[in-house]
Amino acid sequence: MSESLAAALGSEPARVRERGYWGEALRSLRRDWAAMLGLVLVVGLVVCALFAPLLAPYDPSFQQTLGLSEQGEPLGPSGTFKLGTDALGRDELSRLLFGARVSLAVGIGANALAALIGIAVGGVAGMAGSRLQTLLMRAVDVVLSFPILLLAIALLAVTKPNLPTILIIVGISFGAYLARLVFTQVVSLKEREFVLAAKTAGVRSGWILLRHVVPHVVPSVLVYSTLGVATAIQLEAALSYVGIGIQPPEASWGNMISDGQSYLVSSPWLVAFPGGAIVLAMIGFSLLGDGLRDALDPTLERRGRFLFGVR
Amino acid sequence: MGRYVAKRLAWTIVVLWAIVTLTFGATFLSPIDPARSYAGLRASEQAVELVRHDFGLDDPVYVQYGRYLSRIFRGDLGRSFATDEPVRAAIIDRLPDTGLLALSAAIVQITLGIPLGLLAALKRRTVVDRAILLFSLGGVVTPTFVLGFLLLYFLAFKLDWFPLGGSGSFQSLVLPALTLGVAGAAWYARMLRSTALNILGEDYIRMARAKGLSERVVVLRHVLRNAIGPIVTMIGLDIGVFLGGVLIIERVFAWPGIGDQAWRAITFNDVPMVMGTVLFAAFFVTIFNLAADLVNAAIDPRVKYV
Repeated sequence: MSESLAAALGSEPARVRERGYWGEALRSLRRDWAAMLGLVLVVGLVVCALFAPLLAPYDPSFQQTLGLSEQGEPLGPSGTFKLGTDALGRDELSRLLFGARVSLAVGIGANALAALIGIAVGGVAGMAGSRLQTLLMRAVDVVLSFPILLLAIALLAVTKPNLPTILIIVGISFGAYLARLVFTQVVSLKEREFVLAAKTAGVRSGWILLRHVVPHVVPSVLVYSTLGVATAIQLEAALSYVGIGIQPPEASWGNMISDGQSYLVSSPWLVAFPGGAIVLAMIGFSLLGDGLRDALDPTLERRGRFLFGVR
Repeated sequence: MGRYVAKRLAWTIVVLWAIVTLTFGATFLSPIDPARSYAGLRASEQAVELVRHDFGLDDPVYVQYGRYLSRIFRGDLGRSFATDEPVRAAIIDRLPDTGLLALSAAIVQITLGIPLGLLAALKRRTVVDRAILLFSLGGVVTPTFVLGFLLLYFLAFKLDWFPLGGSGSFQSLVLPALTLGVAGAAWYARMLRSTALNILGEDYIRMARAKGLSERVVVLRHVLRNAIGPIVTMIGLDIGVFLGGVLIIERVFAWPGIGDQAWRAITFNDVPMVMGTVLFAAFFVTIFNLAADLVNAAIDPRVKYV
């Protein structure tokens, strides 16, 4: 048919290159300057975190012999210490770089865990019979109605706070939101023809879920997880600031601000640098997440309260 | 409606019970020995055992759990390890300060967030809209403690307009309330803008304009009134959250509220005080959540009673 048409027109029809869903999304993402700015910030952050040991001029917890002024005050930015030193004479730049590792570990780790939980719980509940479905979604509802920050405080205050504990708490609470999101999508996908076709062909429902349903929920999970990284970074910083996150001497942007608080007037950079780092990381992941949403699934709701920070 | 209320109420009780159970579990599993904490670090082993027996801490778990439930149910949150003061009294003592901050922050959120969101929607795609969007992005990506220190450094230290912390005067209230409020206002503005934009495209707005109503009446009576629902819910929830103590803000500004007390308790491993504050705050959050849902169901006939 098309060949005869081409013959009739006397020329080859212009070939339209098949880009597919992801290719199309990538194209529109590349045209979005805000998303690209976000990507640059995120890549910068990842590079800092991955290569912190190579980039850092000093050991982040080493109290430098010449790290304090004669009066015992932190040093301002100079040639030796590019971003100055903190109250214990430790190099601020090295601490910032190592702090990026903590932030990213919590941000990406917690959201990866949340994505797994969300897809597993939401997907299984969506495909399952009514009894299992009720059980799973009720459990999700309980987690969702919890004031999760308060429970994080309760759990972290009495245990020895460390990275895995924070990661798991944040992962479970974010996972509950994703489970809701995935569940509603799976319930409607289940009624679509391609699922029915697979069912008629005798495919087991576990395989249908993995092979045919899950790929459809990946875009929205990706969008929410990217935005979730920003929230998780802020959450970790807040917990560490209050003293129930990453414990000293390990560096985290939150505990650096907490340490610098008493020097706000005399050495404001001790608060300004880690504060600025948090803001840049938040901007990066927020812009990238917003861009991904516009590129992958514009119908997705603007982010709701779950991305609300800690006050 | 009656069935909805009953269901919603039952659900609230389940959630409250789960929270109480979780705090019990956390206290029970915590490595901090309450008998040792009460008896004091230098008390003899016998004295510690005596305290353990007196407090029933050597009873089986389920007996302790039952006692804990009935204690919390009667509103008894235990005594602080650090000061031996009853936890509930200590929290209620701090409530006025936190309440004042919560209310002021809510006022900032409303008076800043609602006009900005509405203005952005009405001036869509103009410089004004862009500026407001930028402000709201800034408010969303700046953690409250970073914003707080910015304001402290420039407005309190450099310009010396406000004190560097503490409470007791109107000046000392301005910065914490502003910091807490701006973050919320950024969200309100974002949300109101998108709801208002949807409403502005509705037929009844065109109708109202066609009737020759003044723009003021159209905006206030027709747009705002229909867009305000979600914001009302959020304000209710926010006040609930704030009343439980705003840990971060109170620490940044040395504001002597519930959050500041909780921070001290965390630092000193004062487990009953931490758990008491958590329970107190969780109670407020859950109750305000319930209230917001019920108010919404009452004023909006479109709410489905599921």
